[in-house]
Amino acid sequence: MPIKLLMTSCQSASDIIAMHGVDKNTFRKFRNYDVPQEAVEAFRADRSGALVGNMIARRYGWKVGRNVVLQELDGISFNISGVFTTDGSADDFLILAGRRFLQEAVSEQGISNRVMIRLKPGADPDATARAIDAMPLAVKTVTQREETFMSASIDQLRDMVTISRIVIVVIIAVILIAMGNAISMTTLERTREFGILRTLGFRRGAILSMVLSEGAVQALVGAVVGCAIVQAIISANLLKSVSTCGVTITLTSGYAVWLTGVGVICLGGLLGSAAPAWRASRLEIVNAIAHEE
Amino acid sequence: MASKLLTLAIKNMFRSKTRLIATTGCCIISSLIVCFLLTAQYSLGRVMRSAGDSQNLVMMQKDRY
Repeated sequence: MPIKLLMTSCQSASDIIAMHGVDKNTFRKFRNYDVPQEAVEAFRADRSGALVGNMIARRYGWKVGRNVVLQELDGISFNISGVFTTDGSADDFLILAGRRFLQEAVSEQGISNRVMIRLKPGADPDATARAIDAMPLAVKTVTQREETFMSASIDQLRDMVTISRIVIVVIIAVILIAMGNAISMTTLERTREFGILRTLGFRRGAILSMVLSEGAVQALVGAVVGCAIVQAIISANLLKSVSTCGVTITLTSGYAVWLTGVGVICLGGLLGSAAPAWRASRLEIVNAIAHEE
Repeated sequence: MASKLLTLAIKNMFRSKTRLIATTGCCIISSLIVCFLLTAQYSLGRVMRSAGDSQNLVMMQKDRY
């Protein structure tokens, strides 16, 4: 299926609008679009009809039946025939229109930017891609798996992921220092108290657990509050998406993210309080009681 | 025993409210950054998985972007 691609400048990382001119009869073979059948019928019947991704519809408050004019895209005007959702793909920020309609709108009749090819079950994608590129066409082509294509498109964001991993390690180090400092101060102030607790029969293990649990509880509370704030920000649509040229990624979270986040912070808290907790549990009773604040 | 220790630990935390706020605040901010970065990674992974599951090939003209 040939696709005519139009999009606004990718200088900005937000508010990129991408329109794909597709074949109205075959576009659903290439992706699982969740869209009512009557919307698809309306899309096919209306020459200037368009199906819009649910995320872009939400961002701009677009409703079915509305006429939209995109000044930044040569003043293209289209009618919204329906709103679709896809399962986690970047298409939720796309506008699908008729290919010929888009080509005529920008006076590029017959010109498409890319071709989508649906493989038959069992077909070897790499061999098929090589065979297509070896065909004697009027222009030289590059054919690749959609995954590879997407990977190249979001290369800038992949750099961000690499950086983010480094940032996470730095944050653990910061928590270690902050927690270590706070718990060290607490244990130092309570040296005599630990001596008294030992005199009363508290074992070293009990003191170690008590100090460790202080660090863990503080880290846990901080982590849960932090996760709740991020979820609230995402739910309130204050931070909706990350964009790179032609691809907009909706920010979504899941239990795995929250559990990992809480786990990372708690681990930092526990490790940070480990050394002062160990010192507090190793105090000699006589020295601890004789300690002056 | 464990619950007694936990109660004691929580009571001790509230001895110095300034320190408690500073330490927990540090954890909150760190957690915010970590969760945001993890969310971005998770979302990126979702898109890549979705593209990886598909049986589609993309053909473009060579050296034209």
